[in-house]
Amino acid sequence: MTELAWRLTRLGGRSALLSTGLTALAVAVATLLLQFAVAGNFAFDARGDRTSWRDAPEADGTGTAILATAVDHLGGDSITRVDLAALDGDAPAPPGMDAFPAPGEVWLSPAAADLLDGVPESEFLARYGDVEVAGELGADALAHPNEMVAVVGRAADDPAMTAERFSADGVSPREIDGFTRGRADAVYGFYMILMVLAAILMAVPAAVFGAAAARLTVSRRDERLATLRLIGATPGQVVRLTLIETVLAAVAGSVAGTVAWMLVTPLVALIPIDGGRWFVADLWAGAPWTAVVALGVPVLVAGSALIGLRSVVISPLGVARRVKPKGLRAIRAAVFVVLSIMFMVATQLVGGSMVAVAILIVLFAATLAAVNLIGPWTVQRLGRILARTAKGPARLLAARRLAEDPKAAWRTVSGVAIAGFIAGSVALFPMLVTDTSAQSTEQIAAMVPAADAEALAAALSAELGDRAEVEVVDSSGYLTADGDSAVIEATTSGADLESVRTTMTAALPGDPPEREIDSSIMSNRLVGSVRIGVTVVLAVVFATAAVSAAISAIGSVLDRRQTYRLLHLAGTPQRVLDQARRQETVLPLAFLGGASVLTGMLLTAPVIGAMGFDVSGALILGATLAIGTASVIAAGALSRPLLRSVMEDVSPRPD
Amino acid sequence: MLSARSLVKHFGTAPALDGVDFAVAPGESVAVTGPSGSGKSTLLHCLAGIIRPDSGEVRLYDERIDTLSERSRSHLRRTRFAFLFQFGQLLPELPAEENVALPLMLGGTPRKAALEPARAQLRRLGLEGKEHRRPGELSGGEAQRVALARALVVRPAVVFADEPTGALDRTTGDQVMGVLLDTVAELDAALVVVTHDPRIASRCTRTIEIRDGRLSGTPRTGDGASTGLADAAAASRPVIDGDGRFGAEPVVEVWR
Repeated sequence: MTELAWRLTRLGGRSALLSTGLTALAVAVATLLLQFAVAGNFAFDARGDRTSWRDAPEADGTGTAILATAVDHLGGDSITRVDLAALDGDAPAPPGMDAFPAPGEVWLSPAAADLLDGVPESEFLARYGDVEVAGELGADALAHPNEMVAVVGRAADDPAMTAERFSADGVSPREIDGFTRGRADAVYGFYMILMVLAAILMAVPAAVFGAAAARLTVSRRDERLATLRLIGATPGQVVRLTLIETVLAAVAGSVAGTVAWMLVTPLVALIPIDGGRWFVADLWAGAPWTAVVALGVPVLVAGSALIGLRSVVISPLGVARRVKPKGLRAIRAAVFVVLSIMFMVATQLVGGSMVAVAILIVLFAATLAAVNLIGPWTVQRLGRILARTAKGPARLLAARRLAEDPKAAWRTVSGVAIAGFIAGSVALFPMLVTDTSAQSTEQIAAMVPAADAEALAAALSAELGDRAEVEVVDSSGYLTADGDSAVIEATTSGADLESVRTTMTAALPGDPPEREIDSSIMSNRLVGSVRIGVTVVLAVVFATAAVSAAISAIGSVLDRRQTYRLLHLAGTPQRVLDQARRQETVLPLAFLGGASVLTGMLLTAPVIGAMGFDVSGALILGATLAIGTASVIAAGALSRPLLRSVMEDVSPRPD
Repeated sequence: MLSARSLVKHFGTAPALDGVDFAVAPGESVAVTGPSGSGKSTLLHCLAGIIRPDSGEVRLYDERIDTLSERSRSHLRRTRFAFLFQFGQLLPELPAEENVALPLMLGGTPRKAALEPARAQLRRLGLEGKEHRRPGELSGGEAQRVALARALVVRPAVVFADEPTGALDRTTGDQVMGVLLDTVAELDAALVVVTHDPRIASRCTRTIEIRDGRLSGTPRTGDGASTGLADAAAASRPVIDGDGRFGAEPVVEVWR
């Protein structure tokens, strides 16, 4: 059976091979994207796991070491500091280091070493006292290759190893047994939610497109399969033959896509998220998951092919005949509207728990999938309206095609519509990046225990001399004094900022002093990551859209080659057909692109609309629509040479 | 009206046409017969300006059309010629009336103005009430009559038909052929039919047979078709020069 299927493909001529090849290509692209989406989820997990040692659990009873963390700032950069003090000789070496750091030793990550290269000790390293750089942190200690980390070895009685940290970014000193079983930073949970969203946004179009491509092959096989039925093949045999053929193509595509993913992983690893690029190994989802995707895709494709086969199997005669196109039912629109409303209501009702977030994500994915229900329905309505009003032949042909086969037209534009939906969703997301460079006058402040405040301020003032003015205040920036704590604020010039900060950090144990603007470094990083993520998702969705547009344009030329040939014989200029085919894409694109942008805006406005408007969202939106439209039209134009050769093919056929 | 001299066309090394002369006058119908692969369709394609012959010439009203650009030939095919094929020429997504109106719209006639003659033509061919049906909702004979309406709506000078009844049963085929001959006569157009079917050939005013790219046998002249052009065609039968791959063909009997 397999051999027969293979022979049928091989001997089916150029167009059979071409369409099988297109299926394989489509499946390869879809697999590549799905592997990316799956691996992305594991990547944040890997970062979280690797950095969890910095939040190692409190020891039962007496520990072997004391651990505390803080975030130091230098200009617009932030450096994660891990303070470590051994309590006895059994303190284990932290990840990425070959020994427990002795007091006075500083171990820097490669990126931090680069940053501090040339920075005078008085501006940074002196913050940790009289220290020596003793080594470089290995990859095991770091979230990513660009992460800036300083591990500072201290004596157990160093004030820094006892002072409470109030900042959310720091861990107060605690006794630990070892560096295992630590808690991953909450930020990775947040990133993973974003990554799940991104994965859905990339995977839904990729899966739809892969499945559609499979059905395309089946429809092109219709005639031949009906012939097989006529000569007595049982429905089961026909189904098996087609499935074998499609699955062979899908397996080839899936393997190619998986290999391609492995090849491009080093490039994908360059995408900077959360302040840095990736360790390539982090983007490896592991053999089981990679295999699940590689096997799952052909199964999905086979399922889709089965659906496409129903009509052929029912009747050996019926497939070549065309009847009035079935009206798509309005229930499609209703499902979409109901899901959208549920999503919007849910965003208002549910709180911040993980279950609620999961429900929201599921609803979001369902709404996105339902776009594929309302899409063809809308295309058909649009086609009918345009067909009634068309004056010229190109418009009429385009409109009738839309009404006749709205699903095909939707396949071509769905990618851009979904991209428009994403762009519309994030258009309102404020992406302001705050300037964090030093100003002419700067104020830095730190929280200290209220009882010691005056004494510390006096000591600090003496040490700083005329470099800064020090006072105890009720509040400075985001820091506000309460009963137990007070705020010490130093006012200095921009030029002296880092040296003053160094002196303050050394003098004040606990949270390092910070400017009000320093908190923006973190939010800048987040905004930057979201911006890059959105760009990547849009690029991926566009790539999908363009490839799917090219494939369906080629497919539709192949499907209709007989008609095109005869139209050419009858003197129809190719210009008219090209125009009609372009309109087939552009008309629904203009309409649905606009509609999906609006839908995306409407859906997410309640969630992020309150954060304010920002021009970069509008820029992303505009660029999305422009690039998307251009790429789909360009991809459609790829089939023009094929159309010409099909039209002018008058090679001798049997008379 | 339409004439050809010494047409030669090769596909690869095999000659599809090997020095064919041809002529047809207004009101005349010519059946082109011959075995499969003999070059019938190639002759039709050359005459209709679909492909260019390697040598020889094709004239419409004394004007050479084989040397025209692809663009001009397309225009010519759209405005002066009409085509009828075995099947598959109707656009499946267009209703019957729009299929018929399409050539007029391609010529720049606005849709409303194009639909009027289209409906009239459909009525003339007995398809009243089926203007809004799609090709898939029509029987084979009806679909072929729609294709015929589309061929005739531009009032062509020459109608080219390639096995127009090949996909129809005998009765329906006869009907369609009858309508085709009647309307062509009515328009005073010429008709060139490529066919295997002797019954169709017998209804034309004249039959020529092609074998291995050459005219073969004595053309049968139908009753009352002594237009002189047919004689001319007979007189200028190609000289068999032995260039053909298979050499000279024996003269064979023509049907009836």
